[in-house]
Amino acid sequence: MKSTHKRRLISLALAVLMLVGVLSGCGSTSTSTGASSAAPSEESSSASNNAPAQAASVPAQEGEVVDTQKDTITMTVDREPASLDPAVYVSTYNAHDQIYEGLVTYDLDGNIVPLLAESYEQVDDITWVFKLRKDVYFHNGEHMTSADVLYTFTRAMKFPQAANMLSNLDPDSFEATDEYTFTFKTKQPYAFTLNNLCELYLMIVNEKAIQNAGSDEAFGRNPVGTGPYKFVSWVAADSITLERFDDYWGEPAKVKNVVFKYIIEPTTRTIDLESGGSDIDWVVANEDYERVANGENTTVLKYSIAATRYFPLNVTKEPLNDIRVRQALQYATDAETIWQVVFGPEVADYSTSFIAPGIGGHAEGLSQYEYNPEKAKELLAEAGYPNGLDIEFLQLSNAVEDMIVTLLKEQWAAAGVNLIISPIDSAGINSRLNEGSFFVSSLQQKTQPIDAGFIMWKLFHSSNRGSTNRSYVADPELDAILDEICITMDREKRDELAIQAQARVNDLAVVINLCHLHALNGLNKNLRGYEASGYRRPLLKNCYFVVG
Amino acid sequence: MKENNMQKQEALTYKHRGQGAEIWRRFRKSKTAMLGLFMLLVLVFLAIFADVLTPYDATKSDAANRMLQPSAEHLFGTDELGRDIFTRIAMGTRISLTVGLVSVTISAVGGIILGSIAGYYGGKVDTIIMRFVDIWMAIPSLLLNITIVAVLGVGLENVMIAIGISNIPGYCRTIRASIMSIKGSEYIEAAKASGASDARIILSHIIPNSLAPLIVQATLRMGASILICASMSFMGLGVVPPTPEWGAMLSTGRSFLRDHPHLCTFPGGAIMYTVLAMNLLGDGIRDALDPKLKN
Amino acid sequence: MFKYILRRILLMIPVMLFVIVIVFTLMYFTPGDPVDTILAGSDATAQTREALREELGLNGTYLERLGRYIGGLLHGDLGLDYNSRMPVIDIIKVAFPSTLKIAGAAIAFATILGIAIGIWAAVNQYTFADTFATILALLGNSMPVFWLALLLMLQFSIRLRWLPATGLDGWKGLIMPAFCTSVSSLAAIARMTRSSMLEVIRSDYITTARAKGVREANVITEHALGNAMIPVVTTIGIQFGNLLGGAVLTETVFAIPGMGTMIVSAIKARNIPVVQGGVLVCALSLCVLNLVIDLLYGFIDPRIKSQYK
Repeated sequence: MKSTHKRRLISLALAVLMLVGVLSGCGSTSTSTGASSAAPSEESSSASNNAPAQAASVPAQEGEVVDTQKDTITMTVDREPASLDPAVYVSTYNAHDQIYEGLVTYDLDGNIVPLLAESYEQVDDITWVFKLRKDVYFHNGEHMTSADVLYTFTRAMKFPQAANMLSNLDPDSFEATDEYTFTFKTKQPYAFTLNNLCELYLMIVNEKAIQNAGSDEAFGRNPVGTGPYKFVSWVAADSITLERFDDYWGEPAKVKNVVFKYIIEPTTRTIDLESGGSDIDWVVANEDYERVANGENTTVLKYSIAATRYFPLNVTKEPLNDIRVRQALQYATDAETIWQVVFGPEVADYSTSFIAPGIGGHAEGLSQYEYNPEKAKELLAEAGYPNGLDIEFLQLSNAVEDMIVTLLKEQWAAAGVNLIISPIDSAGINSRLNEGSFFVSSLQQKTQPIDAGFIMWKLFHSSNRGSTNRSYVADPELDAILDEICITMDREKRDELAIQAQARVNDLAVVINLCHLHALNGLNKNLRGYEASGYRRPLLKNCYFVVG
Repeated sequence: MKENNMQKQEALTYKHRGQGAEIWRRFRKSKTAMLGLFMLLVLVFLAIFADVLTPYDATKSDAANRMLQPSAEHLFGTDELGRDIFTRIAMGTRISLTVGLVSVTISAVGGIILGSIAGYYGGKVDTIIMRFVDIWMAIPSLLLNITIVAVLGVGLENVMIAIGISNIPGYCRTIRASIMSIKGSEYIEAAKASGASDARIILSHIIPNSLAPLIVQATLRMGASILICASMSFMGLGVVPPTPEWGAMLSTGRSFLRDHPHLCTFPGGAIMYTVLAMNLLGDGIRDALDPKLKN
Repeated sequence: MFKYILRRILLMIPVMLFVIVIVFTLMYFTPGDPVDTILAGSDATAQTREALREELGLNGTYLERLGRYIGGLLHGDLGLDYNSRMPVIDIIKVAFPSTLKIAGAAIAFATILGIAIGIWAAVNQYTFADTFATILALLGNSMPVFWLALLLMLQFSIRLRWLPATGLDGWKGLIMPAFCTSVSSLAAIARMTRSSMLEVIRSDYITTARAKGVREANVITEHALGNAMIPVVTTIGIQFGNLLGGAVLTETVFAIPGMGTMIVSAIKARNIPVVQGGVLVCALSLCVLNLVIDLLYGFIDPRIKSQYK
């Protein structure tokens, strides 16, 4: 006990000394608090059609003092990545974001800007030339050259999931034309080429590091990248620890250590944040929104991530192949009640557009099927079901889906539709969805990259039936619009096409929109420099703490 | 002479009528046993009259009245979809009592059969059965439950079957241990010597005398089954919504634990109450059945 | 006795084999494709899926796959996690010690306190002490564990800030998870002790001992306790066995990467090698535990010992 007191006194003394030092000598830190409060949230959410996803940051204030004692940023996540090898598909990437970098990246507004590349040029329809930075080093000390880029690209194509996403790149064209120049071609003109380069799969890796690791799996547990943080350790199912990379080509990270803690239970994550066990909660549960937002030491950042919740109607199954039945189900659904009750207005919002507000390509005022059970009954009678019908609903068994399906069942009952709940667990549902052996389900789409055209293509093009096209729609008119999107380089024009696609989807009534969900990040109130948007996840190198 | 006759008569009446009354008398003597019985009767009452006790529907949502605190109109408040919690708890009584009874019956029957054979015969039969039981027990029960439900499909009946099957080994071991202790005792030797068949010895001597630990185990298990069912619901493998099963209610309520604790308090309390009742009752029955207490 | 022990150890091998076959069969017949879970959310085509299935060895008949697995086992290879390709043995090396720590602490606490409560209640049967002790032990048992865990966490981590909310760091981190895990065992042990003691106390040789004038305390400790312990030891064994399987709910709430969470999430993801490896380790520890329990029987009750030939 006594020694703890002693230790406390000593650290207090040190803190005071450092404070004095900071205030007097290292003056730059206090000024940088002003400078780094870059895009505060209010400014970027303009009302125009092309409004970017809302960026969010914690504004710094006058006279705040940097906390130099706290040397670790702890973030809790609800999922653990399968591997830290960027070429391997994973569903959670917070650690990857700090370790690796690509040739280009998104800024907070969704514009693509150079990162490891100094500049790039699209020489013709299908050819791209990248000039690389000359001052980049990997965590193992190796200097980055175009050989590394060539290696990365070639290697990625060997991984099936990566190759699938990057299928428009032509592997035979990859060329390290000189030490700092890299050239490649696409198979045909492809609008999302640069988006592909922002993907994790093409984060630049070093051949020597992978050889030293011995195998891809070993590399995945001992990653080496160019980013501001380097890998230290990974305790399976528990945590991943990173440390500042001092030879980073850009401005070094402000806080020395980063720890990602893996906590499944949402309430536990919240409690951990509140008790100071962590500084960032990547996924705040909807129910905890108020509590964390109004907490003594905590706050919540909310931003759009183009996550849309919807009910796909499988058009290959009778009677859903009849548009009148689909429209009837649309009229029978009171989405407003469901999302208000299940999520609440702080956490979700609604639009008739499949693309969320705040993202380019969001369509205002699309035609809509208003809640009208009588109309639903009429349509069903017209389609040959005057006494209503039974529809099976494939339901993922969890608390949120329970609530949604319970409310939906009651609503459809009022229109004469008997919803039969078919519960299934998370492992089983994917097989059923991929096979198409279901009628209706409840899904959430969160596609990368966040580009309206790309999302519409993914969700509704006939070639994606069996993977992301869950309603199994194959409509030539829709396909034509989506094909056009893929060769339209200009983002604004693509967004217009995306709006056309959405109008068509609404006409076809193949999905019932439920709502759009926001990302909710819980933060320690003393954290500064945290910025995130739907386009770009947070870079912890800019974060630091102030004394509370 | 007269006294002898009177004693004989007493002995006769004791034998015919007195057993039951004697057991009941001993049971009544224990306060905890009576408490357990009373608690269980309340549950049975709720189960029978659940649908007429309140004007509310257990499954119909009422979005306008969500998360209301307990009040005169809603004794236990309302849940996240506006349903009256008291009504749901009452309807849930039916489900929980069924889960407890069915799963315990499955386990007990299986366990008694296996355990008696193993314990009584010993030797090779014992070895084979007990190795089989070892394997059974070696697989973590929750894993077994989850896998059986994953194979059979989500739903209450399958959960009951799964729980029943995975608990058989426990009963088996207990019976066998008791039997092994009794086997060498004198009155079993005497029964064998007098030519009683093995089956008869097992049925009329061994099982009744091993009954006490078995009953204790059964009542503890009944409560545990309800708890396991709640755990399965926690993992999304239990009932189909909107079934008012206590475990499912507790699982949904845990997201709201900090701001609306009443969503957890009442289903959690109901589970505790039921398990406590079963246990007190079981203890009381065990004490009352105690064969050593002849006077 | 030595031959008996040796025989039991040798018998573990076929037991393990059976466990493997049963678990493999169960997972084989469980609907749901591991590949779909691994690739969930990505835009994988049918070819990608097929390629992955081939890579993971998911094609092939029941016997082929079983044979391959057992073959691997004989080389000490427990296979690789389908998702991360990490050797299963490495995953278990992290998960098992956590579970062992919690289970050990829990059973120790439950045994000491449980036996004490049980004896106290039995000796004071029908008094207030009996009722009080019984209800107290039972209350802990009746409470859903995850509810208890959340309430404890709210109280001790948020309001009082005495204990860490997550993880197993040091003895402070062990307290809440171990306590939550111990309550059900505590009740079971207390009750079994009580009922077993009551039975024994009323038996003839106890009456004889009392009649001979032996002091009550000696009656309890020397004469009654030994015989009463057998069902209690059974119960302790069963409870410890349950705990070794990992207390999933407690682990989830306190974010502890133990065997329970490992196996359950593997089942949910149809991550077959991890399920099999995990169950194998649990099964092995349980077999060892059973042997120890049976030996304890012999130690306590010489009549049983004589049956171990």
